[in-house]
Parts: sequence; C-alpha cells; structure tokens
Amino acid sequence: MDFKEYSFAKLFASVRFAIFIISLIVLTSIIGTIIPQGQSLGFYAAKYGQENAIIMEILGFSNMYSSIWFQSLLLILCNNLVICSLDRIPQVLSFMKKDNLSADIAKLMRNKDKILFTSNKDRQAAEIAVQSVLEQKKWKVQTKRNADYLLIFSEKHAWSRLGAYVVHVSILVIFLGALIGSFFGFKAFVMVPEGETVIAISNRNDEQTQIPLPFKLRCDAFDIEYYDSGMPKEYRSDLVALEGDKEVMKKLITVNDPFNFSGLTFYQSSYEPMQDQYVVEVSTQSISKENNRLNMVNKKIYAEPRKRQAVKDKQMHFEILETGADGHGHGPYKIWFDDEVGEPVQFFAEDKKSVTIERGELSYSFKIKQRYATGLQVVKDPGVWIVYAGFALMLFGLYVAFFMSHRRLWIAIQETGANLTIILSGSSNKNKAGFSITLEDIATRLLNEKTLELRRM
Amino acid sequence: MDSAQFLGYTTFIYLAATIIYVGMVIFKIDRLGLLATALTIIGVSANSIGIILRWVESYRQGIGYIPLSNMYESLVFFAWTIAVTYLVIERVYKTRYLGGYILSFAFLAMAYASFSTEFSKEIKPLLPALQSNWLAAHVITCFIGYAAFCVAGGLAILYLIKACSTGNIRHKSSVSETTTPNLEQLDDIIYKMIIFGFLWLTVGIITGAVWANSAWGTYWSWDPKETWSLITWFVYALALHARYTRGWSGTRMAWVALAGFLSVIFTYYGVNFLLSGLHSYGG
Repeated sequence: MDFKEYSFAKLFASVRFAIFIISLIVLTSIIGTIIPQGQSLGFYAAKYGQENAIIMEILGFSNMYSSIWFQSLLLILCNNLVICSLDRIPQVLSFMKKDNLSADIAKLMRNKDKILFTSNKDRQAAEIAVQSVLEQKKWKVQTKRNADYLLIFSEKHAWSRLGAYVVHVSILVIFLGALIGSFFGFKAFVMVPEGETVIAISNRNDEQTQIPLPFKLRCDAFDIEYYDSGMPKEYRSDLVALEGDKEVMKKLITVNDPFNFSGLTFYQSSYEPMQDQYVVEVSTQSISKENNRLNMVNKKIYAEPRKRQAVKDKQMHFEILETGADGHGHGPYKIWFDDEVGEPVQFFAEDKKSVTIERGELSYSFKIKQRYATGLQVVKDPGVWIVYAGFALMLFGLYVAFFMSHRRLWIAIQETGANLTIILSGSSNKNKAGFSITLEDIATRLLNEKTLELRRM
Repeated sequence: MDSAQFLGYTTFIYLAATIIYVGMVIFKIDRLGLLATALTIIGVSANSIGIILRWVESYRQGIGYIPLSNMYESLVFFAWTIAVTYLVIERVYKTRYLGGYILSFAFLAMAYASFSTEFSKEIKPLLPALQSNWLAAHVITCFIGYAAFCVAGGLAILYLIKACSTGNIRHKSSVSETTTPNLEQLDDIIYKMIIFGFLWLTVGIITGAVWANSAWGTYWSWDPKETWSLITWFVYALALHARYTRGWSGTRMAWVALAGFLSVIFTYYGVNFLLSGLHSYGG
C-alpha cells in the first residue's frame, strides 16, 4: 500500500511522528503520577488552590488516564502503529520473496563473511557433497545452473524480519482486548453480610446503577486470620452461587484466589464489621447414650445484643447481655441461656473461643464473634483473554525481533581450468558474530568431506 | 551463621573486588584480574547463600516466602543480578576492564541495603495481597531487567567520558585484559544490555498485569509504579526505534541509555518514596 500520496497518512507513517506521540504520552503520563488521581474537587482546591483546581478539572487531570485527550493520544498511537506497519510490511515481504539465485559471483564476494576453497574433483561430486553438508545442518537448498558456475542458495528464518511487526500487532491486540473489556464488561461492587444472599451488584462507575446477577450469591462466612504480630494474614469469604434454591458452586476465596462463575469473577476486596451484629455458633453434644434427639442442634445464629433469640424453638433461648469489657464489643461476652430443662444460666465467653456448658444429658457449646460483611469486587471482562493473547504475542514477537536472524547462504561452484573453486558466502541481518561462527562450522564440515578433498584458499 | 552475616560479607567482598579491578586498570597489573574475578564469584556465592538463608529463616519463623518482598530484599537481589550480569559480560567479551565499573553498582546496592535507615531489614510477614506465586515471577523478571539497564546506564556514562576524552578516536580491539574495550565494543554491550533489559522488563510488566488481574480483577490501573514502568518501557522502545530506523548509536545511544536508567531509578526508588500507590508496601 502506498500512503505517500496523502500527506496525512505520510505523517502517520513516519517514525518521527511515532517518536513524537510516544514522547507526548510519556510526558503526560508523568503528570498523572504526580497529581493524585480520582479525588474530589475540594481535595485539589485544598492542595493546589481554587483556581488551579478548576483549571485541572477542565483539563481532566483528576482522572487523566481516562480523559478524552489522553485516550486520543493512545488512539493516535494505535493509528500510527497500523499505518507505519502497513507502510513497511510490503517492503519486508518483497525482501523475503527476493530471488536470491540471481546473485552473481561479484555479489557473493561483496559479503563480509566469505570463505574460498579449491578442489580437483568434478562439479557433480562437489554439488552432491555440498548439498549433503547443508542438509545435515537443516539448510534447504535451491540450485541454479549458470553458464560457468553452479549457484546453491539456502536461507533460514526469512520470516523473522517480521518480528518487529508482530510486536506492533500485539500492542493493537492488547488495545482491542481492553476496548472489548470496557464495552462489554463492567466492574462492580457488592457488600454481602455473612449469611445473606444478594441478587444484584452496584456498578463501580455509577453507584446508582444496580446490575442484576444471573444467579444468587450467598456469603456463608467471612474470616480474618492474623499473624502473631497482629498484622492481617488472610481475608477469606465462603461464597456460594445459587440457582433457585440449589447450590451450584461453592468456593472459599482469598485475596489472590477469586471465585469464577458464569462469566463473572468475585474478588476479595474489603470487609466491614457490622454494627451490633454477632455470629453465634451453637452446637450440642450428648453426654449419655440415650440422648434427647429432639434437642440436638448445630446452628449458626446472627444475633444482636440484648435481644432474646430462639435457638431452635420456643423452648431454647439465649441472649447476649454484654458484648465486652474490652470496650470494643469483642468480648468477653456475657450470655444468658435457657433450655427449659433446668434453671436459666449466665456465663462468659471469650471472642472466637468456644465455651461449653452442661445441661443434664446434653452439653452446649457457644462460640461468638463479630459479624462481618465481605466486600467483593465483581468483574466481567470478556476482553481479558484477548489481552493475554496480546501479551503472549508480544513476547514471541520480541524474541523473534531480537534473537532470530534472517540468514542467507550462497555457495558457488566454479570450474576454473581443471580445478574447482568453491565460494562459501553469506549474510545475516542480525547477530553477525554468531553467523560468522555458523559459516566457519559449515566450512569445517566441507573440509571434512573426504570425497571433496577441499583446500582452503 | 545467618543471612544477615552473609549479606554483610557480600557488601565488603563486592567492595574489595571493585577496588582490585580498579587497581588492575590503574597499575596495569593483569594478574590482579584473576583475583578480582575470584572475589566476585565468592561475592556472588555469599550473596546467593544470604538470599537462600533468608528464605529458610522466613520458613523457620512460620512465614515462608521468597525474599523479594520489600526494598531491602529487592536491593539484595538487584546486587546479585548486577554481579551475575557482570560475570557473564566478563566471560563473553573476555575483558576485565569493566569490572570495577559495573561491580561498584552491585556494591552500592548492597551498601545502601545494609546501611540505610529508610527501610526495615527484618523478615516481616506478607500482606494478603502479596501472597501469590506471581510475586517471585514478577519481582525476578523486573529486577533482571533493572540490572541490565543499570549495566547499560553505567557503561553509557563510561562511553560518554571516553568519547569526550578520546575525541572519538577508535582504538583497535583489546589484546590485554587491562586494555579498555573500544567505543564500538562498549556501544555493542550497551545495545545488547538494552535489548536484554527490554525483554525482561516486558515480561515483568506482563507478569505484574496478570497478577493484578488475578488479585483485583484489573490488569492495569495506572498506579504510579505501573505508569512509571510503562514510561521506562517507552523510553527504551524509543531507543530501539531510533537505532533500527535512524541508525542511532554511539554518543546519542549512550545518552538515551542514561535517560532510560534514570527512569528505571525513578520507577524503582522514586515511586516508592516520593509517590503513593499500590506498590507503597515495597518500602
């Protein structure tokens, strides 16, 4: 394609323009790392002054990376990549398809890497020997008979000349994946109290918009594990996806291990202790063999302090009388309990520690802890696999562009009087030192061919 | 012996090796070179043992993570990659002239890690966000890239000094070990280090993006560290384009390598201490 006729396209096809755009992106990106992003107008006014804050707001500096002008710069870069590549790929392709057998002896002698031999064998024997040496090293040969010499040509990795363009395409693929993600996906958020089920999530970009879930999501438990130093070790949520009343999938998620279900991914993102809400686990064990099966329980109850709570039926009650001498409401808890078997009792329980009380034939254990709501980031991103494919393509392209070279090899067998002159010559577009070694290796193999009786000139 | 002791020795071994390499060049005593190389190898061994012991110690404390999670640990690993990169260059280019020069960066990284009071050297448990197998992949790849850029940047300074003082007179290629590699060789090493670093930085950014997506559901959030790593990536991409399409080399390439290295330093160090964001735990 020839873009040179249009001055606009010519601009986009120039590397100079690409360098200009990349420099602009670099410089403007720096602004976004210095000015805190996504804050309120008041924040900027306090930090930079009222007038500056308004100017910054107009220029979109508060959300710079999603501002129209910054996104336009990225779009221009993409355009530039496309046009630059379309402009240059035909040249590369034509170079790859070049007829290398039209080379003459003079061209072979112009290559920096060349080795000359003589032999007193005939041309046919030489041709067979040379071909077998090249084929041993996986060089596929083409031959052409000229009037006074035979030309053998072979090349490797001609396509590696396209490596840089593979990298360019990979950048476009990544942008495509990002666009698909932003058009067909969303980021949302939901707080799920322990034990509750949600059917909708709120959009991150517009908190008012509720996105209905295609299934119901229940949080069975949320838990924080601590190191001895008191630093949090892990946040965990026990999630269940329900269709109707049927549990279809369960997963215990942690920060680095999200829950995937039906195109949505739920990430452990935050948590919140619920004001005056406690989780009470009550279970019974029988002491004697003839237990009263009717009174067996194993339940998790969400309770508020100072409210009488039925465990199973009207006969069995408990109440959290006090939530903590520690002042934070995290125990020790004072509990009142009555199962109408004997007199009601009062006892103390430490936070998250099980307490057992015996009542006739049964023993009850109580475990009390704060009730939490787990904060889940919910993401739908159908573009992410395209982005990942772009990543893989980029690494492949960089490898090809940097470490693979188009290597060309010519061997001319020329009859000079009764002798043969053999010229081994070649070139490589990259890693020329490595290619010299390859050429020397081929020369050594040729010298070792008994049938040729070569002598290096 | 514990990891702190080994890493303490490492600092001084790198310093000693640096001094001997410099002495070899100044006094033109080739035999010193062998001693310097041996010391460097011992230094790298002590550095490796230090890292491995720290790893073991973290398991003993019931935390158990690869020691690549904070400023101190990353500096120790940075020094290790610089020293190893240097040894490879010494072997491939068969010159010890650059030893004092490159190894001094390994020494500086270790010295800064050991003597700075800005960050803690203790083995501390990992935040929930950092507990991922991606941590090792992300940090190792980034730091291989950083080390290569550091070597390229260091050699760029050397190139500029030499280009100034010799007025661009090209020397014949080196025979003796104390002979300076000529400007073309330096340019070649700088270019190769940039390529190598660029590839690893790319892998580092990608592993970071994949990790972020598996932890937060966003592979890119324009956090200052991410943005600066992208800026660095762009600077080196510009350098490579200038070389391939405009034939930039020599002095101009050295300046770009230096600019890139400054960007690396800011990405690594500046962002952690001057800006805030997702990577602030790196301090």
